[in-house]
Amino acid sequence: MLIAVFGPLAAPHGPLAYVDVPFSPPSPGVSFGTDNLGRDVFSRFLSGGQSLLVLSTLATILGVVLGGLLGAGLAVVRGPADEAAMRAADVALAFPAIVLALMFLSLIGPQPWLIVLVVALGHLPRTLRVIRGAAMSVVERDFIKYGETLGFSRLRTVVTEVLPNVVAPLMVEFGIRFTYSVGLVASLSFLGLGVLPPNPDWGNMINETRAGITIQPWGVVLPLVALALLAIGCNLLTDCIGRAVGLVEVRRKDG
Amino acid sequence: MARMVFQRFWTGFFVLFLVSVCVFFATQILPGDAAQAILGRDATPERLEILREQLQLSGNPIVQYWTWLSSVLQLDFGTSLANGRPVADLLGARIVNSLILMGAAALTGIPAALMIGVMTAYWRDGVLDHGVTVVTLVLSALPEFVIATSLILLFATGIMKVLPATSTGSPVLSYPLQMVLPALTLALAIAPYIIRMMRATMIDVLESDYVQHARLSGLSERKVVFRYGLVNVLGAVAQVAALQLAYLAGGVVVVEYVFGFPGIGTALVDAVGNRDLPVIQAICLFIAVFYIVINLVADALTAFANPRVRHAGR
Amino acid sequence: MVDALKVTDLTVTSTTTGAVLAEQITLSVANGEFVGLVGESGSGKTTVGFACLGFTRPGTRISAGRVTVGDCEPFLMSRAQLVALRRSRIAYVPQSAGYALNPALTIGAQLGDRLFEACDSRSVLLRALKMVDLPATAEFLRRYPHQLSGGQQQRVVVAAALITDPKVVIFDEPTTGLDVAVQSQILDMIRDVCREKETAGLFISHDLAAVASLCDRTIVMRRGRIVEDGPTPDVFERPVEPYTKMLIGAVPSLKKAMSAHACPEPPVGDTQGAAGNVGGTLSASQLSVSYGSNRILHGLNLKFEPGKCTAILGESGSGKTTLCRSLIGLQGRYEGTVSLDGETLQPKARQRDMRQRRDLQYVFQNPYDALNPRSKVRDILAKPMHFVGEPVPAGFVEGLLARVSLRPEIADRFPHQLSGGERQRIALARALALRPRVMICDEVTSALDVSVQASIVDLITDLRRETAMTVIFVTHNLALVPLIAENVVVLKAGRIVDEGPTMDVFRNPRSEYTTALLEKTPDL
Repeated sequence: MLIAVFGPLAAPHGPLAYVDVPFSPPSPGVSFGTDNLGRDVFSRFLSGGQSLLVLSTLATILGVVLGGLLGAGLAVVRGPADEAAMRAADVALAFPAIVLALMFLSLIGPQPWLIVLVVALGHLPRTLRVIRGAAMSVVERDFIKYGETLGFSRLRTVVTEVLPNVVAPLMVEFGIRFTYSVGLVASLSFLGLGVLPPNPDWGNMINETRAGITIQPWGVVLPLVALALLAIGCNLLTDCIGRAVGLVEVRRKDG
Repeated sequence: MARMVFQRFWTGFFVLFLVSVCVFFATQILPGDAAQAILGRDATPERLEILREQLQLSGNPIVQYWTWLSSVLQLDFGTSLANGRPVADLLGARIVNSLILMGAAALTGIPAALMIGVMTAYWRDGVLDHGVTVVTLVLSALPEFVIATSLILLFATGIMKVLPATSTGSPVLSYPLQMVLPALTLALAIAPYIIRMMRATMIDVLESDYVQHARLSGLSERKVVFRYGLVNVLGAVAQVAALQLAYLAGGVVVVEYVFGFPGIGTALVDAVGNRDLPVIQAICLFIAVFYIVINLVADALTAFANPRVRHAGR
Repeated sequence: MVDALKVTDLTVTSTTTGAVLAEQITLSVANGEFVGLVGESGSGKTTVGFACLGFTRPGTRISAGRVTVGDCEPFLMSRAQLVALRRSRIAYVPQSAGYALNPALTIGAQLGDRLFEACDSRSVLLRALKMVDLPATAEFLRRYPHQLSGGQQQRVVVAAALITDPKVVIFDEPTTGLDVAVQSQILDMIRDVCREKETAGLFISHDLAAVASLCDRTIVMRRGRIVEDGPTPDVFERPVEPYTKMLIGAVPSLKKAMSAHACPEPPVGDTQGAAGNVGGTLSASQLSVSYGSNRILHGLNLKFEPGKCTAILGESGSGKTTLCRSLIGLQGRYEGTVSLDGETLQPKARQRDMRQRRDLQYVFQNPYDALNPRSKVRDILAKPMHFVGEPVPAGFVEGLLARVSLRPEIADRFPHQLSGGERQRIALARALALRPRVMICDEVTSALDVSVQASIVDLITDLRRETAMTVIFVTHNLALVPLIAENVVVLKAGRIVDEGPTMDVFRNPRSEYTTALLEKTPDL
């Protein structure tokens, strides 16, 4: 993550500048060699994480916030609206997120806002289901019923009674979704539908430099390792959140 | 129980109908003028007209949908815009290839993952459990193309040049070695989730009152684990496996592309590049059908594994 | 002669926190003897029961002492020896039979798994079913656990324990969660079977009446220690320890209540209570509720008199909770009318006007569920006032806490930091916050320990003295009724079978059902 944020400042060459012959091996000054168009792999590597991180963060926030609100809302409202929304989620789930994204991106063209939207759209039905499930078990509990006997409005019930009690699953969900976002955004750019070339991005870097993998593996290895570390980092973070939240729950049960 | 399966079937059918509506309207109506979108700004009016004709773009959208749906039901997906061949011909062999690939991944990945999951649950907090936890944490985080590229680096380049990095284009079954890396990638992509789910489910079951009761009644450990433990995990197995099979349908897109494997995934990426609408429609529909069928089968299996549902009539 | 079971100086501790769960427990069960082990939740009685089987729950360990079953010591045995011991000498009957049976196997298969010697299994299984008064048919053996009633499941578990002819059986709360009538049947069955087979038993329970009726000797545990041990008549009639006295005193006794006219004198003569609110008259006419074709309530006509406490008595499935939910407006849909002081109420609470909602308050059965775990007590108690838009005067929360006998510091705690009894007091205080005229208490004592139960009943009686509100007290525990209510309504399968002033109904029950309930209720 540090690399993704601060990388561009430290880059020795411009990410688009021509430095040496395509697929040169590492040499002094060009520490990790050049890529298919003779650009400095290291510099491109340093600049390549930024867009990935920004896009996936935005997409995750959008998807999880919408999914969480809708999920908690549906659990409280129930009835036909809930039924209809769940069917809609079923329909959306029938498309793997990547296929959904490919469909829209191919029709409208790769735009950063569209990537955010499409990835968020991919999260929405899944988050919706998880949070609705969690909220359902909260809604069944008597303190919600108490609010009903007093006549709390539905909005009030969602905001003050249900949401505070699904914070734990919401946080875990955020972590999981963020990991997925990173993977999805990177996959899209790997398929050439993310950040437009010639701008660098770890995903499209791997794709572009794949052809020279036997002569100059650094072009692949560097972004590959970076991506892997980013994704694993996210996942570890999620796991920690999950454990922390789990511990809190256990403690609460012990009373 | 038959009634429940029947109900599920209709729900699935209904979802499928909605899916077809979505696919159709997303691809044909959404971009405004699909013909314009495909040909770009500097298309001549004549060519636009021809393409509109070909895509049946004129007229009322509902009529359009109806015409499209009735031909799709006869397995006529129109002709590819890129090379003029019928979509059904183009995709037929590729669908088979992809199914073989997914089958290979599922048959190796799922049983292995199930076993590992159950073992980690049984020897909870042991060396195996901790090791597997770390590996699944890492694997589950990685996008498929990262796994794929890493495998290529490991097995098909300088480090160990034992397996082909890309498909040769020859028929899949005549040269099965080309399937090893893509199938392995997919198996590695689905395994972590299955392992984790199985571990969690099995731990729940092993901590249940009836397993404890069986132990305290002096049943042999083998009987406790198999008859009282595993039997009650079967329902969950179907669900988890289905979820991952459905996930394969998405993962296969990227993985096929990385390895140049001649399946629907590469076809989809190519079609997206060419804006080949009929092909995109057909593939999306196929994937949706696949997803719904798998889920239907899983629901039926889960219901069958649960005596409460199986003997609901009594 | 060797005891069937002997525990000497047993201490069990938690491996994570080091807390002592059971300390220096010494007890013995002679051959053919029945020993009761009594204690409230958290007293460590189940821990001791498990230890007798050579089992410790994960995260706990035996730090001292020994257990002997006959001439074997389970904690010194190899795993194979332990398995052999559990197959022949000692058996276990768990608390909730519904969870203790494998949902995926038939009854026959599960009983069969407990037959370890080669024999004519079919006839042995049928004999086992007959022993516990279950239909001894092949069809019954093919059933799955979910196709049995709670009582039948419990009988199956008892059969599974006794099928190997053990010398001693550990019964861990075998009747908890069952209806009174079923409970007494199961206890009778256990007594008969064990007497016939000369099986010894360690009977773990929180139900003093059950222990009194079944056991030769009684041991009382508190906070991991044995506080009293003696022949049952001595322990119950001449308890030595103050804790035992308190425990026995807290058990609502029907006989005592009936003979002493313990029915609370109607509170202040006028309906104007000290807190200034008048009790409301709640009534229902032709109230019916159905789920699909399944009718839960059959046209009930009820009138709850102002300022009085009316008990609604019924077993599980009688429709008492559905009745309450209809009255408060949680049921949402019913036929007939519910009215407060003559005004007809809407079926849904949300459709009722603010004053009506304020006048009717509800206290839930489970105090662990009724309070928002993310709110502090202060916020929980102030929330109703905020909602109706009234200012919360200084000291309001503390005042409420004082009325339910809680210290003011509790205001800044979260619900999970409180005990069950404290939580139920908070729930009562929350209901009082809006000065209701009718309070509906739905099984408010059934999730609590006996001693806490008694204090909550006292609290409700005290609150009635100061406020003169109408109270509807729903319960399945017949013995509580004379302590709290002037009037009683007996519900069975959605119909009223008996109603009237409590003493009249209990002395001269109109229906056979009430008579049977009165007889079945265990007493010390």
